[in-house]
Amino acid sequence: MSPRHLSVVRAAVLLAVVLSSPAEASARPPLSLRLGYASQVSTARAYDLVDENDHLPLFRVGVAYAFPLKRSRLEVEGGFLTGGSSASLHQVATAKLGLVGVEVGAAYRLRLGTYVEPYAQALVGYDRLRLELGPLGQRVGQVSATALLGVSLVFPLNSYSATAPSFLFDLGVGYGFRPDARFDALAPEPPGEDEEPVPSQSLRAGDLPLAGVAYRLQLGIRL
Amino acid sequence: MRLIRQLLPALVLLAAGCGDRADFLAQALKPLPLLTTADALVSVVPQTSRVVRVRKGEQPQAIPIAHGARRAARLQGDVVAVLAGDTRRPLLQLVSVDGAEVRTVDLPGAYDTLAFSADNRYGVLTYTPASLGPDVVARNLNEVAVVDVEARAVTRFALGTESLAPRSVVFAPPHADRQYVAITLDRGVAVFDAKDPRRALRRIPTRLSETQPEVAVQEALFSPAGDVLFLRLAGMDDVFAVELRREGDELLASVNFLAGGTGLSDISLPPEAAPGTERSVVAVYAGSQEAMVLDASGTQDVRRLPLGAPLTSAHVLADGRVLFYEGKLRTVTAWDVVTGKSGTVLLSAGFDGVRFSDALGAAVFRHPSVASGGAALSVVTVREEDTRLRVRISPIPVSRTVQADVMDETRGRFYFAPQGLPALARLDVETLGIEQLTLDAPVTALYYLPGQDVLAAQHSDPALGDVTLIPADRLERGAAERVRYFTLADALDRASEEP
Repeated sequence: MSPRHLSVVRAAVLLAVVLSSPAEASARPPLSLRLGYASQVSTARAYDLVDENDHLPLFRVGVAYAFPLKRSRLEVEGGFLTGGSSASLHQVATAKLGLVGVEVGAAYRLRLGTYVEPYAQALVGYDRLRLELGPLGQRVGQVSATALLGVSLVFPLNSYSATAPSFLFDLGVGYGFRPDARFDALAPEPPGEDEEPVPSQSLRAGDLPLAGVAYRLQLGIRL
Repeated sequence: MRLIRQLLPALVLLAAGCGDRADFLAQALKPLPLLTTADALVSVVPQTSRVVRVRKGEQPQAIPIAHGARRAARLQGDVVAVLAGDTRRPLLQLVSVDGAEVRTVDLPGAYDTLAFSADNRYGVLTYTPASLGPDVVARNLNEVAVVDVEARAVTRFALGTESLAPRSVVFAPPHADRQYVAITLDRGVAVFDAKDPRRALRRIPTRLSETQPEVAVQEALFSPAGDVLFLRLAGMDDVFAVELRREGDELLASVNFLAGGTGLSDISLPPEAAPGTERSVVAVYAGSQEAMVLDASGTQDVRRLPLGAPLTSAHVLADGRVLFYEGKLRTVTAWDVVTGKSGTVLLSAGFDGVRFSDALGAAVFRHPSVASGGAALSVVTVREEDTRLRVRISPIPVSRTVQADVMDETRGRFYFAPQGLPALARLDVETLGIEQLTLDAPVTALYYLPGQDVLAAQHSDPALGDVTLIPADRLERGAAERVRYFTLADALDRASEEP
């Protein structure tokens, strides 16, 4: 057998293994823990103020519980996100954006063999955002929504038992529906007890566009 | 569709890893020098294309203007004029900072300086040699433009002089029939009527005879009626008095050489209270150490005052008296041009600055150091006695050299900030009462906004904008208000405008 034929056979065998579907999909553990990188890309010009490359990098932790369906599962998930971005501003100051958010949502996960789970996920959440221009800052809160399509790679720790814990690798791409955040009253931090600074006037910076493409790379474990 | 429009480029960027950042965010902020209206500070920020208004009790407001702002001047009321645009589309923008309205006038050239008549009706735009560079390799700097603000009309014409470039623009007081303008040059002066600049243009050489070279104009003053132009020329003792009049389309000028003493160092218009001096000028002679009131026609008797010291500067107070002084000397002389009375006093040291309260007939001199050590202020007041003027000095020691100061001329209040200290003080020149206020940062410049009776203390960060606004009659921290980073007002909206 020529090497070319050999590689074709290997690929076919691998695909067959991946797509081989034990019927006990619903028997997989229901609880999943995930953590990883959740970034959003906003191409609006105003976002350049806080990041040179249009990214809002976030760290995410999530917990999900699955309800079994036929050859699929419906996962209810809650997550916590935190992160931020910063950029030099006119060579004299730094503009920083910080985000802390929570989200809940549901994912429909289709079972394709032992190892592959494509999914569609929708989440709604609440973000606390802080914009800082030098010593001035402002916090605002607003709702968010995220829709993702992705694929999970599932690696059971015991390949002979469907109910054994599994490692997960998630890759999802979608869109973050975040409304423009209005920063219209940036002010210095409130003074300490012993301080009595001259009262400050606030500064209006404008609206920061935050909607954009979202993508997530997460590792997890299913118990 | 909107989602798709955003999604596609974002996916491309995602694959590439990054997108280009708006260039202007990387540019260093270099706002033009602060301007003031009656009740607001105004900062023109070329890098963000904004005029920012800072007023007590309000958030800074940013008004969008064209890119490329390079020079600004305050006109009457709340209007600020800005030269903006580039060599392809130069602009003059008139910004009403209260109404946030911008009127734009297209210009025939990217001029470098602007000056306006007292009534804001006419503006004159000129070039300077400093604008030459890679973008503009050569230019006829004799070319100027007259802007009729009401008609939004621009008249471009060449002065046609032998000089390289204009030095300054001086407007005569506005008149119903005419608006004379003098442009001083390194060789001579050009005078024209802004109402009819192309036809009513007169070039006036500044030399005593055909065999002598022309000399540069150091100072130019119009008489109150605007029909006489007084010139002080480099290295010449005579005052040039140019009498102007219109005959038809033509502007006629006749020159008188007004001889006085030697070493002409300053000229000023005489007090309005002095009778018969409407067409006269006060001339100060450092060489012969005297001051004179010279009539433009040379027909009146010359009023003369021996100064007793080589004083170089004159300032006319609102009460009709004239103060003569010189920075390094200690002599200050007062002269009442009407009565002829005078008086002299000796300051405790030389000074580096002086502020006048014309209404109260007083002056405050700043001494960086005095013999006893440390810095000081001297309040100089003038009182009339039977036979002379009594010039009185009240010395006020200060802890450090004065870094910034400003005078409320109407009420005679002198505000000052010592160098490096987060404090400012108010000195009442009438009662010599002093009050002080501690701020949160040292003060580098002071401005007085009479419309709100507010002081603006600028701190050490002019690029980002950092001022404290204080009610002038209530020097209390609780009543003050600090406004920081105001040059970044509207920064996000500005960023979204970038292509």
